[in-house]
Formats: sequence, C-alpha cells, structure tokens
Amino acid sequence: MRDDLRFRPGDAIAAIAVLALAGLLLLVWLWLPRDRQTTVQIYQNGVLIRELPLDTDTSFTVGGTYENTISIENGTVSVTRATCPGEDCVHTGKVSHAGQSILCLPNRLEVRLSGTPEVDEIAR
Amino acid sequence: MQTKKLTLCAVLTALALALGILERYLPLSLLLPLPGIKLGLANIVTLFALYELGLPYAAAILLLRIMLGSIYAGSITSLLYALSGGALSLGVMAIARRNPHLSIYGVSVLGAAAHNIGQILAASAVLASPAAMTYLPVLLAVSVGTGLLIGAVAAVMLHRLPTIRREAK
Amino acid sequence: MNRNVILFLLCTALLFACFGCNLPRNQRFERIYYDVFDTVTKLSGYAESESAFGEQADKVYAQLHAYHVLFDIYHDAPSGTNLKAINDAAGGDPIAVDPQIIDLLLFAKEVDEQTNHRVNVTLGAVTKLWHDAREAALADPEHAVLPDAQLLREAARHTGFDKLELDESAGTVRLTDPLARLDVGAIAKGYVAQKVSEQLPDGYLLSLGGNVVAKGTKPGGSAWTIGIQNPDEPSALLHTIRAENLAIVTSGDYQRVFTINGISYHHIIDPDTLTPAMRWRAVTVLCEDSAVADMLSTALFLMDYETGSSLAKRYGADALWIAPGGTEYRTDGFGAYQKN
Repeated sequence: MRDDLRFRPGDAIAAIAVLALAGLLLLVWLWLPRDRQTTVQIYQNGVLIRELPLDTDTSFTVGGTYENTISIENGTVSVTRATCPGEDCVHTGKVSHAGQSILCLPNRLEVRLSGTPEVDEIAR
Repeated sequence: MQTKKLTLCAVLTALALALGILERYLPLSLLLPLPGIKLGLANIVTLFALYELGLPYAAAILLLRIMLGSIYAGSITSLLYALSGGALSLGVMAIARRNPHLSIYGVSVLGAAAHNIGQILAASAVLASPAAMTYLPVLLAVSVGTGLLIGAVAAVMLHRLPTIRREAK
Repeated sequence: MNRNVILFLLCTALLFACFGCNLPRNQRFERIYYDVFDTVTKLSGYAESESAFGEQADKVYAQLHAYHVLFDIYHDAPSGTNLKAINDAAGGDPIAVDPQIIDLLLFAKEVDEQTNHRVNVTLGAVTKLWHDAREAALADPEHAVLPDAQLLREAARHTGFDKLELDESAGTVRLTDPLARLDVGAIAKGYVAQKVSEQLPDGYLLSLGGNVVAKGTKPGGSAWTIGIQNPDEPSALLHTIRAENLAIVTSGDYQRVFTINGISYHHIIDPDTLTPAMRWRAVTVLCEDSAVADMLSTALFLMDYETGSSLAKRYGADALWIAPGGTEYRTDGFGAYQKN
C-alpha cells in the first residue's frame, strides 16, 4: 500500500484539532446569548409599535379603541389597567419568560417578550 | 492518454453522482436526528481524483458533480451551499495533502470539516444572520467520524485500483 | 483538460451562485388576525420567503373570513345568506344557503346525536340570553345581572334538532319554531380550523383563538410544541404537548367570562341546568381532526369522566381533564404526547 494511504500520527492531531475547534465554537455559542437581553415588544394591529428593555422598570399607556396601561416591574410585564370590556389582558397577570405574551383583543394589542418561546403555541 | 483520462473523469463524475443519490437512501439523520448531517459519500471520488489525477481534474469533477446534481435534484440555494462547501473542502484537502505528516485520513477529516464550514458560511451569508453558526460545532464533531470513514474507503479504492487498471490493459 | 475549461466551469458556477443569493432556506414567519371569530388567529409557518408565506397566509385569511361571514349569528352577510339569516327567518319559509352551511349543520346534527345532546347548536335561544347578559355586564359591570331563570326555561322549550329542517338536495334550511335560534359557537372554530388546515402544507401551525392545528412537523422533523394553559394562572403552562398532524383544543371556565359579585360566569352552558357548567375547570382534547377535537372538548366539559372518556375513545381522541382543585384525569394515550 502507498505510504500516504496509511494512518499517520498527524491524522490523529488533525482529528483532535477539528474536535477542539467544535468545542471552542460551542463555548463561544454558550457564552454569547447571555449578553442578549429579553425585550418587551408592543404590537398593535400586528405592527411593532414599541420595544423596551425588560430590566428597566417603567409604566406607560397605549391608546387605540381602548386604553391599556402596561407596567414593567422587576423583570416582569403586565397590563395593570385597561378600559376594554372583559379586561382579559389585566387578568392574564404578569409574564416574564421569553415568547410569552399578553393579548388584548378589543384593542388589537399584543405585549410580547422577545426571544425563542418555550412552546410554539398555547391551547387556551 | 488524453482520451483515457477524459473517460476516467467522466466515469468518476458519474460515480460521484450515483453516490450522491445513493446517500439519500442511507440517511445518516436516522441515526442522528440532526438536519444537514450526511456521510459525504461523493467525497470518496473527490479524494480519489485528487490523489490519482491531481487538483485540476479533481476540481473539474467536483464542479461537474455539483452542477449536474443540482439540475435534477435540489434548489439553487442548495447548489450555492454545495459549491461553497465543495470549493473550501477541495482547497483545504489540496493543501493538507502536501503536509508530510498527514495521510489520506487526515486529509479527509480536514476536507469534511472544511465542507461544513463552507456550507455554514454560505448559509450565514444568504440568511444574513450568524444564527446558522451555532449549528457548526455539531457538524464539525460529526465530520471527524464521517471524514475518517470516507478516508478509509478512498484509501482502499486507491490501493486496489492500480491492479484493476493493469489487468484491464 | 486545459485551464480554459476549468475557468469556464468556474464562471458558470459563479453565475448559478448569484441566482442562489435571492433564495434563502425556509424561515419561520407569523401572521396575526384580530377580526375573525371574535378571537385572535395566529398562523405560523416555515416558508422560503416572506412573500411565499404571505401568499399562503392570504389564502388562509380569505377562507377564514368567508367562513366567519357564513357562520356569523350577530351580523348580516354583506351578500348572500348566513346563519343570522336562518335565525331571522325562523318560523318562515325555508331559505337557500351556501353548501358549507349545510355541511356544518349536518356535522352538528351528528355531534348532537353522538354527545347525547350535550353539544347542541340549536340551543341558540338559551345561549343568546347568556350572551346578552355578558355583553351588558362587560359594558356596565356595576349593574350586571344574570339571565332570568324563568326566561331561560322558556327559551329552552325552543331548542332541539326537531325544530331544524335540513333539505340537502334543495340546499335549504328552515327553523320551524319562530323562537328557535342556531348558535354554532361550540363547534364552528374547530370545524373551520379543520377545513382551512386541510389546504395547508406541512410546516404550518394555525391557532384559531387557542384552537390549535399542527400540520406535519417543523422543518428537520421536530414536532411542534403546544402548551396547555393553567386555568388558575393564564401566563403559566400546565403541560407541554408534542404535536405532529394533531389538533389541540381546550374548553375552560376561564374563557369569555363575566363577573357578578365576585363570581365568574363562563360561556359553556349545560343544556340541563341552562347555566355555565361547573364540573371541570378545563378539558383539553388531542385528536387528528380539529372539528372533532373542538366538539369533544365542549362535550367532555359537560360530562362526567366515565361518559366522556368512552366518548373520546370512540373517536380515537385523547384528553386531559382538570377538576376544581386542580386534580387531573387523563386518557391512557395522553401521556404519549407529553413532552418530558
């Protein structure tokens, strides 16, 4: 057999180098998402109208057919006051996980936490 | 001599195409449930051509295989990915072959890894997002295994084929 | 082989590569609609491009909107007839309707028989009183009142499929009792989700106000994950379901609610007591067919566990019951869908 067809110690080093590169990339990947923060996205009629950081406490009111007061507090977001009938949005309470959302159907409003959601959809 | 080489190129291209199709019936993704994972059987032909005929012929066979393969199977996007992967892979293998410390096994492993890096770079460029990069570690880890396997098959092929050619004369 | 040939091949390859730049791999897109079936509709799916997804979404919306108009009992159809027209013509002559309405009502009749009249679309006279009470309560919570029991009993006399005449061959419908009304709320969303999702390719997820249909898997073969809401904490999940070609529908006592003196009244009316059913907090049904899943979730909400589970079994469906206090009951097959 030709000499360059036989396994050499250098081959093992090449294989280990590729594995090391994979490991290094994995480490970089594990480190990266930590500095990407969750944001609060406010959609009305399906359009993103506002985006705020989740870690800064604030409170503001969104108009439209009705009014919703949205509060960001201690890393959670909730609708604390609403003039819509039913006030389902207020009853939803506080949400804090990426992908979760609060809906106000009468005002066509969705308050959503950015990021990859835990689930694709919720059966209500 | 020219005709003989040309014929060999044609046969090898056909073989690479056939291996590419065969691979679809041996989905490695059944063993490992990860999208985009494959053995890279067609790389046997690229390795063989690189060692037996040299870089220009290997490049020609690779290009023909990828373009013919994409005509009757696959989208233009997958053609772009295959071209990026193939070009980087062949380039790395041609350089690695000159390293006296590496045999065909090491060359194959580095080629498989380079193929995945090329594809992911193309995907990141097309999708204009580095999200595809996060998938690279898994692909690289798997490419060590598949690279060694493909290297072994190509070694056997290179070892046996001179005999076949002598007998055919 | 000379260098020119290689150069030519390289150039051709580059040409191909440039076409490729405009065609990215499948990406996830999403669209939300607020104006069909008084709920939030969300279509998610994987497509090659925004425009490819948009084309699919426009088709879905057109179908949803058409069904919404046909099955509406509160508003007149801009053209043609709908369920409101049938209700308005109660006691009068048969009226010609769209074949989709006939199809829905035939399904409704079968549902009525299969569920021992628990899920009955001819209960409209009764559900209208609850609907009006809810609307009034939401508009003026200070003066909210329950529907009058005497009126409810009177309305209940104008229910039942014997008051509905369906002529399939003529394509006509007639309510024989002038006071009888149709209300397809318990089955329409699931029926529509089923019809619309039949046109959808794999890799799409349709949620009609929490009435979820998963088509195929996500690209790469991983199943869709669907959360089941905790009845006590709307922002928390009770379970996570792996869904592949599956419909998931929940009926819960927290949907379409109004409150009087601190007591909540929901929208699923027991045909026997003529008041909101109190047996369960929520029932979730998993089934391949969304229309069946939707009607079963209402039926099971109104039945005891034994009757409900044998009904679910008959349809090959699985279910999760949540009793007041949080105790859970489930069919044998339910666990297989659970994630973790």
